[in-house]
Amino acid sequence: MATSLSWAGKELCSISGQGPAKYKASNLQTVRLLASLVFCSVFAVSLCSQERLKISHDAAQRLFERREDAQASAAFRALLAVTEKERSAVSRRPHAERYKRDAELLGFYNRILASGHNFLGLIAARHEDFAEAVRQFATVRELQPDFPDADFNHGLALFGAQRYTEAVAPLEHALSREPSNSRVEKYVGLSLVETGRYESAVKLLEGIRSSQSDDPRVLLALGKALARLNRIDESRLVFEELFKSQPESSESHVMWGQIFAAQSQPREAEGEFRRALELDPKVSSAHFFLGMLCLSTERLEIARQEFAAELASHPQDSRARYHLAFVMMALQQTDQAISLLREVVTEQPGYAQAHFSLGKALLQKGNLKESIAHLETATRLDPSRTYSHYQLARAYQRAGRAAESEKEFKITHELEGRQNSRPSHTPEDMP
Amino acid sequence: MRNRLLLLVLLLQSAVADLLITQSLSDQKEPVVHFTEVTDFAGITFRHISAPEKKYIVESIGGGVALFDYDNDGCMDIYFTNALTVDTANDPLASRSALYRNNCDGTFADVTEKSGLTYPGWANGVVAADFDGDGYQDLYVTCLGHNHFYHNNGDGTFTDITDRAGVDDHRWSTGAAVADYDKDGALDLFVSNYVDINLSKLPEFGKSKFCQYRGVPVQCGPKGLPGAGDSLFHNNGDGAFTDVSKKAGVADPEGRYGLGAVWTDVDGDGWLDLFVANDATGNYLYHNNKDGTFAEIGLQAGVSLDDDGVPLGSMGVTVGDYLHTGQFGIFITNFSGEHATLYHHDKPLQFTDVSYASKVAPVSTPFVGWGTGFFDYDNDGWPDLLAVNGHVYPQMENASVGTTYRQRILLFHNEHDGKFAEVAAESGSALMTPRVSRGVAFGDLDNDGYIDVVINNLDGKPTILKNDGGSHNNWITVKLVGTGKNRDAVGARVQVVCDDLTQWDEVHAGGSYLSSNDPRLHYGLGGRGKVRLIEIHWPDGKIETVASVPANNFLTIEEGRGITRTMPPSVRKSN
Repeated sequence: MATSLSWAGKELCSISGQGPAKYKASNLQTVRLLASLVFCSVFAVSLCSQERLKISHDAAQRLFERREDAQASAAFRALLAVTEKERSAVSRRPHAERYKRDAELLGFYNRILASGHNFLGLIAARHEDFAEAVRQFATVRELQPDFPDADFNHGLALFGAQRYTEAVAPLEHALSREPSNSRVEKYVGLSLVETGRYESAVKLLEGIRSSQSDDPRVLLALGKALARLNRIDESRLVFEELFKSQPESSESHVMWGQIFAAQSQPREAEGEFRRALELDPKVSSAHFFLGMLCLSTERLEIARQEFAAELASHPQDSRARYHLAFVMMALQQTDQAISLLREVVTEQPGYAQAHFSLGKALLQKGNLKESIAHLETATRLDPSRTYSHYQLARAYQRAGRAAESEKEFKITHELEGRQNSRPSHTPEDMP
Repeated sequence: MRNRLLLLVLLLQSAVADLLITQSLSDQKEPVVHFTEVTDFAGITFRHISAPEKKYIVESIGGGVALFDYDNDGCMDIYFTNALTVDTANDPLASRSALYRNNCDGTFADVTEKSGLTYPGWANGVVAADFDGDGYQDLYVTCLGHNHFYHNNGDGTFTDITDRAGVDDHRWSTGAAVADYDKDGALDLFVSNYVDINLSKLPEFGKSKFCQYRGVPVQCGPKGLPGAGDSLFHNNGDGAFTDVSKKAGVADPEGRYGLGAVWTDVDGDGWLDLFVANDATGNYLYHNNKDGTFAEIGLQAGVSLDDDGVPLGSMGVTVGDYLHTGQFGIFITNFSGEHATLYHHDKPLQFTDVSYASKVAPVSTPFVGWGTGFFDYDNDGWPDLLAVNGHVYPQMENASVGTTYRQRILLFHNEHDGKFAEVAAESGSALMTPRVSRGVAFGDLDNDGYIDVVINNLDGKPTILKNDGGSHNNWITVKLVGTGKNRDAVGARVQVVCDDLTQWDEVHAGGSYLSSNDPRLHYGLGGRGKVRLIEIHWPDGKIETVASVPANNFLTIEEGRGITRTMPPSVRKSN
């Protein structure tokens, strides 16, 4: 990930070197000279300001590099506050009074702000606070779309936050800038598997299989994608390769469990997840996948316990929270499900299925207004899903909004048959 | 003083006795009803034929059962359909369907040869109804290829009048249901069709993405194969029928994979509507426009898809007043990995999927469900549910993929609060035996007042489940005889009121999966000894009531004449 701000220092040197030489005194140019003097005063102030911001930035960066994250975070936030204030002062000047120099200043401030947010994103990611990382990197892309690695960082944070659907676009954008970067290819491929785009995923993952052989997720994702495409023999070969390459650990048992699950061997999968928990009761995802196994066989009460256990050891896991809510709905504990789903959509506002489920649950409770709002969001975020349109049609119908209801029923009918995937039963359905 | 003391002692003793009685009553569990398999005892030797590997979808669809009294002796007879295989497709004599006459003593006699119902070909579904109003129930048999309409001659024989009547459908017909949809007095016929199949160009086993299940190569379809439209034949009243499918708006131009079908008056307007369970595609609910046409409203009514807006692999269907609201819920059996769906009837033409709320969903998920029915097996006055199961892929038997080929029966006891408890395990080992079942029909085979179950299994012998009546609850059974050509009174709705209990039912011909139930209406009464009121809403719109009827009787009520016959139950025989 990009961490350098050297470009900013270079630009500052360039600006300070050019300025004074431009303005030479002359009898005929007294007025211009006076004006230039005023300009130079402003310039000097701004020059000081820029140097000060640069020094603050570099100091914060050193803290980051020494992994003193709390101090680094505080320093960057202070830097951002000052920079934002100064940028506002410049941008508030009436347009007619603005000097050409202001545009350069605003550009400088934006670069400082982008860099600061980038570092805050990196700190958040380092602490696996991917929701915060997503916010920071999104701001970076907003402030400076060409900021080095902005797309990749944003995509990676979205991937880490399990917002796979949203992650694909920035990652693909990053890949278009660096078509031969196998690390970017890897995350695009992994995201495509998580969003069910198996054909495209297989093409990418096959290509980087050897160069990324140290990351077992590549083979796992490739094997899963091949299995989903019913290319069973190829899938089996990939899994065999993976088996050979992995030493025994709690994580490897979780992975093997997923392999068995992908091969529709639930008993073996369950055994692997249980073994992983024996080795490390807090290993990530073991309870989650046990919950998924139970969900697939409608052992709802046990599924509930497993998702709750995953959340207890990994409270940030929106995926587990969503599925816990899903089970609660199936167990007719709608109020608890609604409460959990509200948390999920706050954490992951772009998660179409969470909006769908929340809308559906609210509809069950007769809260038509809020239900419709979430179902509208779900259809906007992912217009291809029959079930969201159907549920929205039902909600409009109950609200007496006949024309809108008919329109949504029509869309449902058109989509029906083209795809009929069931919402939210599998991890691949997570965004 | 002594008298006072004696009185006090007596009062105390009485109070203690009351207390003991109360305790003993509260400790008592509801008596358990057991089902016992009596197929062999009954003398049923029929065997359904099917290719062992089921390499093609045509070999998995199975057969149906009709319970009907073909000889009017008061005992339900049984007709089983039988199928061919791809290997025997050109030899109609390779598969023998069977008619069994009920000897009214717990045994049956095979009368197939005499009846002329032996070789309908690749037979799937069956429906029994008296189409011409001559007092004898006829049979319509759906097939892969030509269907057969058998007229009951009243002498134990049947005549195939398909061509004369104009009710053939040469496609792959499955479900069939009968009703007088236009209220002209004559019974019409709906036939659902499944896949548009060409036996000479069958898709190859395991070869495409539609021929894999959980990574295991299996037969192809129905997804990936073209569907076939449906047919509605209007009874002209002169022995001939007219195909009105397109005109009526029920031709299914989209070609959904039609299976179970049932006529029911969904909105209680006196005009029968039609529900069609479609496999892997949305179900149809055709609302009767009262002018010979229908409007398809499945999506808007909330019964086309499940609660998630997903079309399911629907097979069988049944309707019933399971909450005593007078509005029938709809129960549908579906494919494995899905779940059976129960739609609650909220208000006319509006349903909600309550599969999870009613607790029928979780337990039914691993099963591929087929025949089904609402029936009050314990006579407590609340319709229960039964569904028979069995996968379509024999390859699942050893695949360890979370489902199996042979599957047990699901019996759901109505808990009186909108919920159902699955009680097969405590209702007899016969229910827990894994089988590959398809059609099922419900009826009182031994006229003992308890509903029995007849199942047509795909591989081999059928299953006759005798209800032992262990609940000892009371009941009433009503046979309706209408005027005119609809003597079966198909479509009549009957309300039975008994103290605090008000139940509605409807006379159907065709439903479940490819099957046809005992046409008599049966109502459990719990411990209530008398029916206060029976109100019949005849298909022609007339309403008739009879009052104060003792429980535990078989009543025959003729339109305009009230009760014309009352029969006590037969003495129960052990086997």
